Amino acid sequence: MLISMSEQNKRIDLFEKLANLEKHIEALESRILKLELSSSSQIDDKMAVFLNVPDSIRKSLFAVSKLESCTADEVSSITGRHRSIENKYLNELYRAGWLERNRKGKKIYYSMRNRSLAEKDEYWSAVEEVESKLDQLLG
Amino acid sequence: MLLSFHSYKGGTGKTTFVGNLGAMLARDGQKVCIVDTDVSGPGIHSLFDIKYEKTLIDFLQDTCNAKDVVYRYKDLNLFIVPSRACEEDISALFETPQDAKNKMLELINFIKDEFNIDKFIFDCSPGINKSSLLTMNIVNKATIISTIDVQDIRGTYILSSMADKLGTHANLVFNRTPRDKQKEIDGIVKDFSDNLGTNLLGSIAFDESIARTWSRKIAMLDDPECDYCTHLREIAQGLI
Repeated sequence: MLISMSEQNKRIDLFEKLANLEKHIEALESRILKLELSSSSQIDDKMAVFLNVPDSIRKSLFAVSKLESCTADEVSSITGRHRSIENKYLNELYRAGWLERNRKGKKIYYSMRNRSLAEKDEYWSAVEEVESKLDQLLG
Repeated sequence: MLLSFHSYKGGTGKTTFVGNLGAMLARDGQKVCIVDTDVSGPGIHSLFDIKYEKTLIDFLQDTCNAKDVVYRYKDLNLFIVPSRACEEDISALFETPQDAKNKMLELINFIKDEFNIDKFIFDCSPGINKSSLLTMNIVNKATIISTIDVQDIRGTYILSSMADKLGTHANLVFNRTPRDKQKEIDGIVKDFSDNLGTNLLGSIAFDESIARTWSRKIAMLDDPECDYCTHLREIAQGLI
């Protein structure tokens, strides 16, 4: 009886350790995800996004891009992952500046963050300038 | 060191530049590998007259080993990984971009260890496509070869923005510039490059003797003191 109690205690102890380990891993995963996101540049171009976004959350980002404005539930129906996972990923994407979010009633809608026209046209004036100079030179 | 060469439009002289750069570095005693990632219109094998059996595409499709796709050019320390024309983009051969990237890195690491390669040079597909961006993403330095054609200039703006988004600082070379207006054009493209935040490596005037080789000769091996080779050497010094 004593031996069996001791074994039971050992098992409980083991389960506790495993649970702690799982929590620790989750916390580490979350930190890695944040680091990966913060080291990515702010981009909204699909062609470039596919190389810069961590594999795990790219699916969610592309689902939002496809649906334009959507909830975690709708993203979940595209990615096939549980809503709670999508909630977590969409939140991370929002915090990293990839997505915008709006509350409508009880629901939160996510959409791609659009860069301002000024940002997009930052260098366009350089193109106009060089074209004008070359026009003058080459006639 | 991994170097990639890009252009927005075809016909900018990118492959000729890449071939001659590789030949120059190999002649200077470096061990060089040119990888043809222009899978939609590969040309390096024609320039170096490589009769291939297996290519980059076969390796990426897992139908051969890395050693099967590397060809040494004559007795130089110049190794070529040719490609065959493929209707699919490189990344389309893989489930995820990371898989494509890993497979490319597997090839690079094998060649680097096997042949002690100092410099890898990637000849990329013109335009904005996934294989070009994938290469841009793994190299140390990306260089855009442009002409002063309006289509190219606008494309260079797009390509440099893409490089920026990928965190790769772009270098710029203007090729085939009009010889009689070389000085003025050098000033104009310098301003353009500064405004874009790219690093202008230099410009090379249109060279009839190079154009007339029709990819049948490699100037750097045939006539290394020619005007084109002299300019290319100066540009290479700025790059490496």
